[in-house]
Amino acid sequence: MRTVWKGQRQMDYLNNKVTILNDIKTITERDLILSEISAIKRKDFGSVRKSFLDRIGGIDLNEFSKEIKNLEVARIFLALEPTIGILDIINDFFQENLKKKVLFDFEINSEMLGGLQIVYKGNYFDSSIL
Amino acid sequence: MNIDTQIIYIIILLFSCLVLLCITLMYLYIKTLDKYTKVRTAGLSEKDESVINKAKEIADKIVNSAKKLDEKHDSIMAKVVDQVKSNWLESANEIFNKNAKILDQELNKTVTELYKKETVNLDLYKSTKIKEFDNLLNEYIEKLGKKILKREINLEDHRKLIADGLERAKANGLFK
Repeated sequence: MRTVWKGQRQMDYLNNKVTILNDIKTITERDLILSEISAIKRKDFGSVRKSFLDRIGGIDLNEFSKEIKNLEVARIFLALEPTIGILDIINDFFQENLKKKVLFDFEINSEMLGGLQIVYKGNYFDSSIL
Repeated sequence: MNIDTQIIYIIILLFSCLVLLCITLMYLYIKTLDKYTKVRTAGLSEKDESVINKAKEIADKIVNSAKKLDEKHDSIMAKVVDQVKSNWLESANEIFNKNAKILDQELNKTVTELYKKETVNLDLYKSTKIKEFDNLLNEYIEKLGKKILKREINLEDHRKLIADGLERAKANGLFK
């Protein structure tokens, strides 16, 4: 009975970790999570979101920090601020095609009318409308 | 004694001769002095006057002929000077006209060249300014067009454009 409970708890931790990882889509969010992990390490719980605190329990913070820091980053240039819908489109497309988690560094290019420019792993692709 | 008398006679003769000579000399001296005084006081004699008059006439003749010669010389010189002057003026005029023509041609050439150059510069300036103005206008139209287009493209269009861009990136091997 105890073993089942322990296993269940580990599953919960894993699920929480996945949920947190799924929530991190941009480098801004990554930096926020990293600063919150640092705050938890300092036991400064006041500057940490409650939702994050609820999920982070039981996760190895050092290992998780390393994991987040090692995530690949793609730079995306857009004509407008990315909405949640646009962010999801890009994120889903990357995950579906790369089969791995990639973070996004968004930048607004006022010269662009629409479309996007991608810089990923030293490659550049431009499908923008100027 | 007899000899003595002869000597005395001879001496007397000699003495008398000497006196006579002295008197003659005195007479001649006085006469010459008188002549000299006369010449000094009473002027020239008729002969002298005639000689002087003759000399005057000759001198007058010489002077007149000299004057005539002088006049002739002057007239010849004047003629020569006139001729030289006219010749010089002619040649000077000729040279001046020649130079004036050359100067005129050079001036015309320079003015024409300057005009051509300035025309070219002006055309260049005009075309440059027109190009600049065109570029400015194009930029403005482009910016304005972009602004209008940005307003016209809605969120759904943006999503479509992004999705299309991602597909094209995939087709270009960005996700390999």
